[in-house]
Amino acid sequence: MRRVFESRKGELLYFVLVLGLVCLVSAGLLSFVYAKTQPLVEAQKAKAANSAMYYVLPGAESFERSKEGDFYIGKDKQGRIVGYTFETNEKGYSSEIVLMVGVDKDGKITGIKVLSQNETPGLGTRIVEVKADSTIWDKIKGKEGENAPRMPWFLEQFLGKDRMSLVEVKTISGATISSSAVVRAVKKGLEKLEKELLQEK
Amino acid sequence: MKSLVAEFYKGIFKENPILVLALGLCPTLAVSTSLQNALGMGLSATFVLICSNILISMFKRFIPSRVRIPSYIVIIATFVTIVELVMEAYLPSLYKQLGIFVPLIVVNCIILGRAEAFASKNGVFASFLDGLGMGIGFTFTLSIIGLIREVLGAGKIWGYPVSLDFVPVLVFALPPGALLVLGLMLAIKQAGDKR
Repeated sequence: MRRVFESRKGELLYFVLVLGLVCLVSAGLLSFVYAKTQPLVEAQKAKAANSAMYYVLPGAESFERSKEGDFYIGKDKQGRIVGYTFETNEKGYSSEIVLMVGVDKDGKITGIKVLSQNETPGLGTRIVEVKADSTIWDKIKGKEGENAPRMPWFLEQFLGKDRMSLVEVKTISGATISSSAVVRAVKKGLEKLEKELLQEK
Repeated sequence: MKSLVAEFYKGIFKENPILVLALGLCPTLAVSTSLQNALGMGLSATFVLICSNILISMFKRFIPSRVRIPSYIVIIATFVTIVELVMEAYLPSLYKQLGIFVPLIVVNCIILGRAEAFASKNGVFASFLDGLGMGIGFTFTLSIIGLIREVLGAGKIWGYPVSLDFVPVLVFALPPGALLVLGLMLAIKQAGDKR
């Protein structure tokens, strides 16, 4: 065995063998771990999207996937339709911005949440910036401001708007691309929802 | 025994990965926008660094030196991806905080640099100490840069504003600010060494 590997050809063969073995073991391990973890990861994602649905459509007790379209129907305790939620996305400045939007029966926005974004820190990320009401010194001293998690001030503008009045939303200077991408995403989603609702009827 | 302690110590100051070896500058510049990000990146990288050092020093005998670099890359990338998948599946809240840094660690040259310069020539325990020291040095330096940039660039510490009516100097939150702060830190370290 040893002698084979000492010749020049054998040496090359040995390199190929080692590298091949390393890659084979790695690929095997990875596919095993991936198969094991993937169902769990999917479940986590679904759970996160689910809690976002309750957040963007207050008053809804249960959600039902629409038969044809890509949205969810929110119902209250008595089973009456409260509104709809949908996911929408648009390319921002440096990432895909994914949103969850809730609208009531009249098409007015009841809530909006950014599910994922990876925009420039300090500029694009201002679309999810929450206005602060207490400083770090207050925090250290134990003086708490309002504790309730509040909405980012940019997204607050969307509340109560429908497809037509969406133009009133002011984009953020210094974050024009990111903030107008959010507006476009919402508009796109609302138009799609309207079309799908018509089809369903 | 004394030399083992030195292996641990050297990463923190004498051979600080950022300030002296100038390794891992890409994540240093990219992720040091806030203290929270810096600490997250530092701790994740430290964990991966320790584990990859241990793995490499264990396998070093079987890997011929002429194919060592591709082998190390595959081993490290595999290990990092497994950590990412397991974290995403079982520790979703931790993944939410650190998840974005994990893929960045694969391209962090400190990991490959230490595998090549240290773990491939030393024993398992010494490699562990080397990884730990280097990781702490990296985390510490990154956190200082993160803190400076967060205070100046966003007016915040750990996500909380320093003062309600401070207008931040945005350039510090952007790549030029990262280069400025890093450059000044390098200069201070050099001045300190010269003395």
